[in-house]
Amino acid sequence: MTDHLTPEAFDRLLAVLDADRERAAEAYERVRLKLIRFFEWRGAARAEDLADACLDRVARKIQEGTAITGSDPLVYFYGVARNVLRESWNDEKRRNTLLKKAERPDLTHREAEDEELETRLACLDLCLGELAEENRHLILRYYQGRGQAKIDSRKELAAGLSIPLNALRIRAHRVRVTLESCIEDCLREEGDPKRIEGLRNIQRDQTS
Amino acid sequence: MNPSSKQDSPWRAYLLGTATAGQERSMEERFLEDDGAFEELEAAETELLDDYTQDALTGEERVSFERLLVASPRLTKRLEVARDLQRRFEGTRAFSSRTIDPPRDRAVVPRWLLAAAVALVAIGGSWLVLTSRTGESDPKTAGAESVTFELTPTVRGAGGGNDLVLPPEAKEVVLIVPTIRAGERTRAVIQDVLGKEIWSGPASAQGARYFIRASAPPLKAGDYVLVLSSDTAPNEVLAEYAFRIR
Repeated sequence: MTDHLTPEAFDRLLAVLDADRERAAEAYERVRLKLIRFFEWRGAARAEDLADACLDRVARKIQEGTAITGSDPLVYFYGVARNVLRESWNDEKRRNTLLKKAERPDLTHREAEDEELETRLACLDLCLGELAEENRHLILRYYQGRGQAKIDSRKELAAGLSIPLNALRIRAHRVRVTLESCIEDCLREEGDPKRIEGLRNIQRDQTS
Repeated sequence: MNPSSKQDSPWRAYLLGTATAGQERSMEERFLEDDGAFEELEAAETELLDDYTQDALTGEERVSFERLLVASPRLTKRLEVARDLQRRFEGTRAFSSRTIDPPRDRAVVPRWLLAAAVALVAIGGSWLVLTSRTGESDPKTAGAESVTFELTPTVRGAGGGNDLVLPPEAKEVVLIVPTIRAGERTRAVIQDVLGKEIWSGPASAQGARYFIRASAPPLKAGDYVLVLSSDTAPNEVLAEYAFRIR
């Protein structure tokens, strides 16, 4: 979508976000991420395309002379995003989706995935091992137990760290994001047999 | 962190589509402007993934969350990690995973995990014992008793698109259609092609969609029409959806 955007229009868009170009580029990426999430959380199927369409449209408006006033330009972005979302609802043919549990390939596991599961768990172990000790301790405690035992464990953990439960939740989420990013990198090399063997060797070494 | 505080979380309500239109707008403005709010929302998403994996969502919450999951490859990936974490730390089977987990008797436990276990046991933890348990069947996941379909607007009799395959064990069918009049109580009636009422009940609005929970057994193979009408004016038809059960 943004491939039709002229460099001049893009520069003007960045200038609206911040006078400093480097900070503006960071702000742009942040806004784009939030817009992608906005469309995803509203159930849109092509969230990235819609976010780019939104940014594209804002840039065109600015180039055409629309002045974005107010203390925060994101209010304007949001207004455009809502319009793009509404249009996508009209455009998108509604799918007749069968969400029967046993037939949801994206939400269930298949027997054929056993080997893949082993690889994923190996990556998980590897990435847990790469976390800083403090973070690893936190995530292990955070996911310890089930039901009431888990709730009690988290209360203890928060009390031990002298932070409220909500702050603990945010902190655990940050560690989780780091962990997921590491796992994604690890799995990217999944197709490489040497990599898989390497992961298994790491596991063997760790237990020997 | 307790169940009631979770349910009170406005971010959670936003993600599940149970916030009002006004609340949605206010929260969206907030997370776009405020990085802290955005992070809170992402943390709520993580928590929902964990709750989904642990079968800790209500039926309606699960249906709402599955709508997000099927539309987002990113969330589907995150769901895999949530399941793996559950396997590793709780030793229980992931929700909706019907297959038998690979035997864990040959599972290796990394040295750092052993070291962490010693530390946790010292503070009263018992998770390591759980990590070596094999998967156990979860009675709650046995059988597809509730199935969900999203209906497409069609012309009555054309039947195009809304061909639904209802498994014999299904006890409940959830039909999802777009909300027509927000805030107005809406009634749903399923009729056969001759206009005979097969089922009727409320259309429960959640955000931009109605969730209609009907009993599955009366729906044999054949053509049907879902009729939505205002609860206060039953003769005023708001929308009709033709569908076929196979």
